[in-house]
Amino acid sequence: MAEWEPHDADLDRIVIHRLTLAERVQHIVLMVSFTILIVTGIPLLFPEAPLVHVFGGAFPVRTFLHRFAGVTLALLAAFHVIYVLFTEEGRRDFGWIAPGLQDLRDLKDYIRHQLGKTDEPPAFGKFNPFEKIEYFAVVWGSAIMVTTGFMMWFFEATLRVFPKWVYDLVLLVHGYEALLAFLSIILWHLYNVHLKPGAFPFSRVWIDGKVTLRHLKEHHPNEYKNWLRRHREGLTGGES
Amino acid sequence: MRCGAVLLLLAGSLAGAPRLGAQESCAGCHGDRSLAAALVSDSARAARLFVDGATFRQTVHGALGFTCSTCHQGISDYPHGTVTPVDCAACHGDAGRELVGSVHGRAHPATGEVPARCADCHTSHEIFRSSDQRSTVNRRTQFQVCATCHGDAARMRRFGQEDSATVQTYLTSVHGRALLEKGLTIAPVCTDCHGQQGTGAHEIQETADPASPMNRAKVVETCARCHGGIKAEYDQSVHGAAFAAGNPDVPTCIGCHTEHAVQPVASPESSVYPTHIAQTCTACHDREDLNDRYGLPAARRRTYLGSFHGIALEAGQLTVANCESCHGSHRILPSSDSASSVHPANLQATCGSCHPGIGAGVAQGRVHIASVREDINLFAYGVQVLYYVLIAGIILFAASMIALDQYRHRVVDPRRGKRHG
Repeated sequence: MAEWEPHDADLDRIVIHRLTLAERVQHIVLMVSFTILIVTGIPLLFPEAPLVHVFGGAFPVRTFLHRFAGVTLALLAAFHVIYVLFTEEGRRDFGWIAPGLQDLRDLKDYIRHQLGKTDEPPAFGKFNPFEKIEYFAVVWGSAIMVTTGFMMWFFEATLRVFPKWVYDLVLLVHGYEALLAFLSIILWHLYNVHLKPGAFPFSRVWIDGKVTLRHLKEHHPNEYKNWLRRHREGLTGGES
Repeated sequence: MRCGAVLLLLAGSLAGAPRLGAQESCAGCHGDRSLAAALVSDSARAARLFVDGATFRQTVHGALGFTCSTCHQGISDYPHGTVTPVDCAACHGDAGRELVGSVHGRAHPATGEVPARCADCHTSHEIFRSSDQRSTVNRRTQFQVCATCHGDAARMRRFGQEDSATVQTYLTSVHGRALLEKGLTIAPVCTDCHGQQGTGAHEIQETADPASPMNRAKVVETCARCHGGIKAEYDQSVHGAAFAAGNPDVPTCIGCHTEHAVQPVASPESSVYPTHIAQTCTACHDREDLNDRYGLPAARRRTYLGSFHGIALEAGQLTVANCESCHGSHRILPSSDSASSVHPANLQATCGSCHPGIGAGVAQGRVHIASVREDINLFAYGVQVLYYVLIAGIILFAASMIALDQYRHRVVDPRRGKRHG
């Protein structure tokens, strides 16, 4: 006897909750603070271009906004650590997002699939290798930016502990890391999540947290299999 | 015409024309504006021929009871015949000798034109003491007399001076405004800087002349006539010490402050205002030849503008440190001098004047970072290279992944579609 499969028409009707409310709120706070930090920070990296004039003389306002957004990001990071450690969804998703050897195989399959060598989509779980890299890039980047940012804000104290070359290094790292983060977001994240065929013009997942079962089946086949297994167990459980 | 004039002259004296000392006969013609105009066809000349008796009697010469012939000697009849030019030096011997030796008294070698004679500045008949406000050379109006020629481009060009605009900038300078707007008559006028102390205006020389108080060798001393305290500081500075030793490159007062256009330091137009000072200092300090000659570090302006101070200043925050905030102004010393505000031992205190509580670490490293490798260290350079690789990597990664995705959707999928169809 063939095992139960959802009807093709149901693939578009059944909705899966991909992101919890807490995760979506964290994402929005990150997005807003990141945008403020970029807008109030990146112009300072190009002193030879007259970009700083975008502040229209309101430089102290820029400084305040940058620090405000920086503190927000730091608080968000602290909240995220608590979320990952002390909530069930947090612990579960962190377990799934942790990278493993499977990711290398998935990456190989993905490239083969993209090149048309195979029609079988790569067997991604809830988080594909790119999402994992992005997540840990954000974790690592935030740690660097928050640390160096506070060292720059309180440079009088920094220089009581460190020689000036450390402070110079901090400035350098803060600037290049910002550029790296900015480029990652505008070149990769925006394309991979919103602009690519299938998602264009934008994905709504970050707002409502929902994806269709079809999306799960096509883009996260392993998670779909898990869903199916859980669902079948539920069905059997219902029968007994 | 001339007969008519003589008749008029006689008629005028009979009718009691204005009395000009004992010179009623001169005033008969020269005291009548319309008569002078009738005598000569050239209206400008006619205007010069007219002498206002009432005003003359108030002038320094008129009040002393001078008559026309005191100065205009050898005129006894009409027509006058050849008139001997007035010789002011017959009485004013010192002034006459001083003028002859000055730039104004030396005839142009080619044209023979004399730049300025007594009357060009003092007028002919309306001469008052220079302390009298009615005098053309009184402090309050002296600039206008000098500018009559010095602001006249055609005239200045005849003497090989192309620039007739710079002197006009005096009017809006701190000195000009102090005099003209604030009424500070102690504010310097042309002759205070260009004339010799004591004798004033008559010995003015070109600034290229070593005798000029505005000559490079003397300009500091001249400014110090009023700004003595500043000179005392300047003399102790690296600039002042080199200047005293005859160095031709270091700035004097005008090197930083400009001359005619000098503005108060608080004015946004000042060459040493926060928004201009980096440009002013680096006019020398970013000159490769000077940096080579004196072993000075390069890229001072670029490294300042690239620092947080420079960026904030560019964005309009004027309170941030500029060149002067750290290096000082008149008593500026090299960082190797233990008395310098930027000597490593003093750096914490200097930075601390704006950033209270700043750590001693500020002295352990360079302030102007021109090159990460040379001005921070090799480790920081390694980090910089790593970031170059990462940034190039993210660009390459994103570009290749986007290309791959587009390939799948634009090339592979339609092909599959065909196969399936």
